[in-house]
Amino acid sequence: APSETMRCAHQFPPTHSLAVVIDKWASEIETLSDGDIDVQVFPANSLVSDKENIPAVAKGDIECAFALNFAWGRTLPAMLVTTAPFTFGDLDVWRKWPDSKAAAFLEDRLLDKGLKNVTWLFQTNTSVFTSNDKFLKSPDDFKGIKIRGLVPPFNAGLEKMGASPVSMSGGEVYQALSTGVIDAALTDIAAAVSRKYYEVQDHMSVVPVISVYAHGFVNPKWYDGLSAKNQDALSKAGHMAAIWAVDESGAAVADAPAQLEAQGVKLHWTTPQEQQAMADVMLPAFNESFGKWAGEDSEELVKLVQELK
Amino acid sequence: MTALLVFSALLCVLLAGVPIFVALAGVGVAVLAIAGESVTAVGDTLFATLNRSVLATIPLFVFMAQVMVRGKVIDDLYQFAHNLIGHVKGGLGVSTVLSCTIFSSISGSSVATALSIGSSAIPQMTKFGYPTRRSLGVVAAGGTLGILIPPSGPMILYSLVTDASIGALFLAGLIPGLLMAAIFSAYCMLSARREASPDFPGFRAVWGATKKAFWAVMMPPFIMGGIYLGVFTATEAAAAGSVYALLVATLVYRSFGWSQLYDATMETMRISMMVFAIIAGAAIFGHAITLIRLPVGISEWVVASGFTPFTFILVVMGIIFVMGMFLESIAIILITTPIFLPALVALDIDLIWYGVLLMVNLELAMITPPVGMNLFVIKGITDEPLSEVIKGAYPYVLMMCLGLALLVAFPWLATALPYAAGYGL
Amino acid sequence: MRSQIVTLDRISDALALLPRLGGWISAALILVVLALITYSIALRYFFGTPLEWTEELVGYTVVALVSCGLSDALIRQRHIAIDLLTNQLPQRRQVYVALIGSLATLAVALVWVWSTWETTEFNRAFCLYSNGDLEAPIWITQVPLVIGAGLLVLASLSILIKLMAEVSK
Ligand code: NA
Ligand code: NA
Repeated sequence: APSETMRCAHQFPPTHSLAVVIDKWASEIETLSDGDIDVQVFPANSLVSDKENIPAVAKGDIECAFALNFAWGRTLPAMLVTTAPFTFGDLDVWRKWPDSKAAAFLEDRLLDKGLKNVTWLFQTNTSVFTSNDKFLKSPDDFKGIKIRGLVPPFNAGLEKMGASPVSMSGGEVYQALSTGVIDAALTDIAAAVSRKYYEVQDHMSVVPVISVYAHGFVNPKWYDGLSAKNQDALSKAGHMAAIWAVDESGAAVADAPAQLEAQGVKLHWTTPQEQQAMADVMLPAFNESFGKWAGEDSEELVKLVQELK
Repeated sequence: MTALLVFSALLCVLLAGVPIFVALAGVGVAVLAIAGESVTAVGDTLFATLNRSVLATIPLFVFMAQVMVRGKVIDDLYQFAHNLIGHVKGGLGVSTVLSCTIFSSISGSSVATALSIGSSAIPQMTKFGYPTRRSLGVVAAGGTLGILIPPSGPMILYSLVTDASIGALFLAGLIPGLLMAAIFSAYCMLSARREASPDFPGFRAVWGATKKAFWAVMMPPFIMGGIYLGVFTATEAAAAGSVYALLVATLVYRSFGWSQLYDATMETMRISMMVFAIIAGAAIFGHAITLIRLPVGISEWVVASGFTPFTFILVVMGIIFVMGMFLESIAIILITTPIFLPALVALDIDLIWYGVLLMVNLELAMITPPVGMNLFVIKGITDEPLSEVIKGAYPYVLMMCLGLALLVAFPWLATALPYAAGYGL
Repeated sequence: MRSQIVTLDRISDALALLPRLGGWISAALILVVLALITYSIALRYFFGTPLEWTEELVGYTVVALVSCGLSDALIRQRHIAIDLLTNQLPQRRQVYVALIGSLATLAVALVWVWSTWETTEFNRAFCLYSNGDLEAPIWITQVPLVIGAGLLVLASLSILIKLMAEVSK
């Protein structure tokens, strides 16, 4: 019989590509620990909601949870480094990520906060700027448009191009687009299909502008009480899951362009020159704002991220 | 086994007359403590459950109806229905059903509907010699439309638990609600043989009543239209509806001053607290049983025992019907939905459809003895013996069972509208 | 004996004062929510400038208004209970059953005080912020929960003492 129970809460619906990876990861842990850890996954906010995940694990109410990097916000701004415009576009960066110094840096910060990180699950780097009547592909195209915002440093980049970012939760974006509360949105390309953005937006330009990831973390006290073998199982499964997530995300993104075009959306694949032009405007504004927001962490972290390339 | 133990404990505490929210929270805390789980999770659970802007719709929809009632709009509403249709055979009953239907689209609660319409309709029906038992029944049953015809407080709670779209649920309740109203009306007309009807008051009187009731009758299209045209979210619609009600009550009826505002607000607060208390208690109970994996266990058992979606729905509807005899409807939603949700998902059952089935079943719960909120309300406003109210409501229990069966047999009755409107990807 | 009962009733009334005040605050907060949402609709439709933080603020206000109002509703017997069986008991027994019920309420209220305090204190030490536009320190938005749980303790004590007065009659 298992000697450890690991309750693991996450927000993704059971069919979501990350939920699939998490299930696979869970059974891998059970296998690697020879059944000594019983991993119980609670998907779709069914045990603890995404807002409560982080303190629930830190407090030890449950052993494990997954959060998107956005969930950290002002609590640990360094986690949002992947919203640096056009910095995390390369999938190879993500294959190297779990063993990188940048990841180790964030793992230290998480441990300071009272959480032991166990896996990094890359979600997407293929986003689309959606709009009507014209593509958003150069800084000038953004002048005067209301666009869904992300986090303060990224919004600083949008503002620098002349857009006004409006924040709202993901569930509200569709209605906001259809009623004209906002003119444009930035979303990952798979979500543009699943959330039916094609019904309210007819132009989309594909941009590797940000990366979104989830990460799994456990309560450090519980982790320290595990046998060496069980800790090793967590570490191995974590590394495997990180790779699965990169592959899975590629598969999730693969069908999206054709599906969008079938719905009558005009797609534009931004060229490296176009990306560079946007990066040139956005990145300095991002770095300045990120520096203020994330404090002393930011400089070292940005340096470590550059090393990944 | 654990499941049986937990639920019998809950049932015992509930039947001991402890406030429902205390029973739910208490049993939840006990489960956490016995399972050796952290009891401080209660604090996080309370916060996570209440920190949702959608919950603001509950007091706002209550407030909207309160303002309409205190602004004396309801009498005009009933008079409108009465003048329009009272003169046909069984017309007194039909006009009560009609005014319940209209008020249901202003009110999110069955109790409020039965209370408000009952207070104007029962004296009128008595005046024209409508059989007492039958008038008690028609108000008790007509009132239950409050939670099926949008807006609906219980549907909001259901959507919170399941993440189903509120707009879709509201739309899904419309046809079944009108269907139930039609069945009730048909029964009133068929069962009316001997009783007298008032004379047709003439077109001038109908026109006069229509003018007077105009602002009340225009309210439902304003609220629901706003939601479906994408003008408002559900929360915003509740706020806009409240402002509309305030404007009508102060500017058109001129019967609404500061003291009415004070009363309406205090009453709104207290009614909302009845609901919020149960939401809070149920959240703690729900967290505890989720943590010990009761719902997952039930779901696995359901799948392993080879239930088809159809047999599962029949069993679940039977269970909820029995619970509905004894328990209050908000508690039923908040206790059963998290338990059945994994199984519903595993069997690929449409959550909008199930939501509507649940609502009709809860309408039944309002009028089935021994515990039926609408039975109590009608007894309260008429002082008739409860047994008379129960006998009056009895035919409607059968009709609602018929309605429920129709919805089980023809799911499109519920799902056609929301799908046509583009909900439910 | 008689004076004892009068004293008990007075204590009970005194304990009910703060919960009743909570009721007024809760009612006022309902109007605040109404005003807040109406204001944001107006800004959006008439001035084209959406307010980003309304939704988040409304969520916190709901927490506060529920916290403040629960104890008032409890004191005024505006909670739902199933009195199907207890109603059948003789009057005197009913008081005893109610006494047990109010003890249960007190116990639950105490658990709420303790657990909401722990939660709030933890999130303060953790420096947990909301990830919405307000970037609000979460513990501040949770303080009303602790206060509300405290009011619930007062309310259930008030009821308990009133019932004790009843018993001694
Ligand atoms: Na309704
Ligand atoms: Na019942």
